[in-house]
Amino acid sequence: MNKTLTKSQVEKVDGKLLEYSVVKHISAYLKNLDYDILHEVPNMGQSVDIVGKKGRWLTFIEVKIHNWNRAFEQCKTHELVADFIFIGIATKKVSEQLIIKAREKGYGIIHFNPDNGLCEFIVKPSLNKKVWLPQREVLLSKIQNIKKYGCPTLDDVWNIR
Amino acid sequence: MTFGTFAEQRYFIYPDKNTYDGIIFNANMVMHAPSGLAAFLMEKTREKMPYIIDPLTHAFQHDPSVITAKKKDGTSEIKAPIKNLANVYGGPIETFVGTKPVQPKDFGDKRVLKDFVYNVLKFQKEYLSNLMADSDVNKKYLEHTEEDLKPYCLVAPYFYMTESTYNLWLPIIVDALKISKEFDEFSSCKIFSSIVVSQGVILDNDIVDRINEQLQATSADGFLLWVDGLEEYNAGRVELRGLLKLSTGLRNNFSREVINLHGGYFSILAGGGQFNHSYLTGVAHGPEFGETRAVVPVGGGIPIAKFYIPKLHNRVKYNDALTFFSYKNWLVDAPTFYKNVCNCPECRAVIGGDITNFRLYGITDSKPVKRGSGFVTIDYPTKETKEHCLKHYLQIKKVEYQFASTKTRKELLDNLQQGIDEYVDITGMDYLSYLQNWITVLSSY
Repeated sequence: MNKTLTKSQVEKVDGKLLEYSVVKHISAYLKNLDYDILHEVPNMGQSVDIVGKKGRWLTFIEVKIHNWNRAFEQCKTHELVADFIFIGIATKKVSEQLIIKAREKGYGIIHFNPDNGLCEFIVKPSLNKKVWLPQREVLLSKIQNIKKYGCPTLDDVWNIR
Repeated sequence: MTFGTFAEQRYFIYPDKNTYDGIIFNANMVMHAPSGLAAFLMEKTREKMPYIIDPLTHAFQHDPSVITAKKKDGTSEIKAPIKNLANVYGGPIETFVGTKPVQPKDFGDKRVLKDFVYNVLKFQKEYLSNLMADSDVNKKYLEHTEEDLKPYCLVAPYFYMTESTYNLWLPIIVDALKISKEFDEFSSCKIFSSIVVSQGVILDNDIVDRINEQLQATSADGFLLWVDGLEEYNAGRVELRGLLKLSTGLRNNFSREVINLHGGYFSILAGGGQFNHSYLTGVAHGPEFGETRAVVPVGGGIPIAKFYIPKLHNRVKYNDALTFFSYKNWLVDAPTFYKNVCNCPECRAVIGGDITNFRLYGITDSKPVKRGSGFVTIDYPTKETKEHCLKHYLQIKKVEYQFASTKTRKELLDNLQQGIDEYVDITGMDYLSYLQNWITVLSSY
């Protein structure tokens, strides 16, 4: 996205849904479920779209409006630190292939329905047992710093007025 | 090793002062900080460390935007060291710098070319050696003459050649080499040229043959070799064979030196002498960076902490390295890591018996960075992280050079195959295809 958008403009551009909107809707959904939400959390050279913290559990969500295969590449790194991993998707229909691949990997799927604006868990994730604890400690300390000193909000990230 | 910045100067004696056979400086750096470089050579490297000054004459054949920098007021000006270099080189370089690229026809007049060659060689021979000879440390303790302190070789003016321009530039390069040999003043010096070509050149056997034929007919003592942006990790077999065909021709029955300015482990193997001949007599790179480089700078990019995996002979992003090692269960304790990944002094120092310290190869600071019209938070490796990665890299590189020149052909090929065998289950074969390409190409020599 190259130009600054107002909030009213942001949901769709040229009839196409924006990743920003999907991140916003999924974040709101998770907040309602008592997740503590952070956006664009840096993790080993990558940036996680949504990190949800609930109690001692860390949930990572990579949001895609298309090319969900790319999410699997990104999630590989998340396996070193996250307890649960989701792919957030906003296609009209959730691909059967995506469901099969996510189940294989133990990732969950959150679907945002662009027609009615509702979010829904399509696949439940498994508890990730590949966490390397020293790296998770590094991430937790980074999250603490972000909370302490602040970080760009979702609107900052996408430059929304 | 190629000198990049003064911040890296302490690594030219790391792991020890005899690790490196020589240092390569770019002429613009020499022009920018001659006293600092003279002091570096006299005080921070081993005594009489061989060095080469790359005259960087190709810089003047590109669009002037390549050699200009933007000022605060938005206007552009020629970078000061480049401008000073142009003034020293004189002729068409001085006339056109910053306004238009020089062209082959600008050197059509033999007197113009002769003056240019003389200025370029004189600069290399004297600019640092005079300062080194005049330094306090030399006067008080070493008492070397300027002749003792001259560069390892002088590099005749050269230009970048592509498939479509080699026929225009090659005659100039050949003439410059011949003229270089005519000056009595430089007769005590080895005369090299620098062969800087596009990847398209090494893909065309006819062009490689023509370049080799014409350069073999000169009395050059050696060559620097640089293939624009060639990444040995992404290169196909045809490109790798093209590189060796060019270097073999330049070696001229293995009688001349050829130093690859930007090479990785494939070049190190090709130069080690275990595949019938040494196709290269030297391989250079920077401290951690510089195994590949584009002729025209394209900017630095975001530094990512990378861990050199010895078995893969490649720098790998920290998160990928961590994924690989975690999958293989090599992060369970320090002895397992030392046995399966790396046992170098830097890894032993960083890990110190506690495997959780492997994370120190990936510690970053996060900073918000403007990206397009928004912001993203990006991880930057800390100074300590960069130093750990760099020292580990240099430790392994030292081992690689020794390994390539002392092990048998079979042992070297087996080592590459081991890399494939040990990592293929986690990376897949596509990721490792470069190792298979290296095996296939080197096996045929």
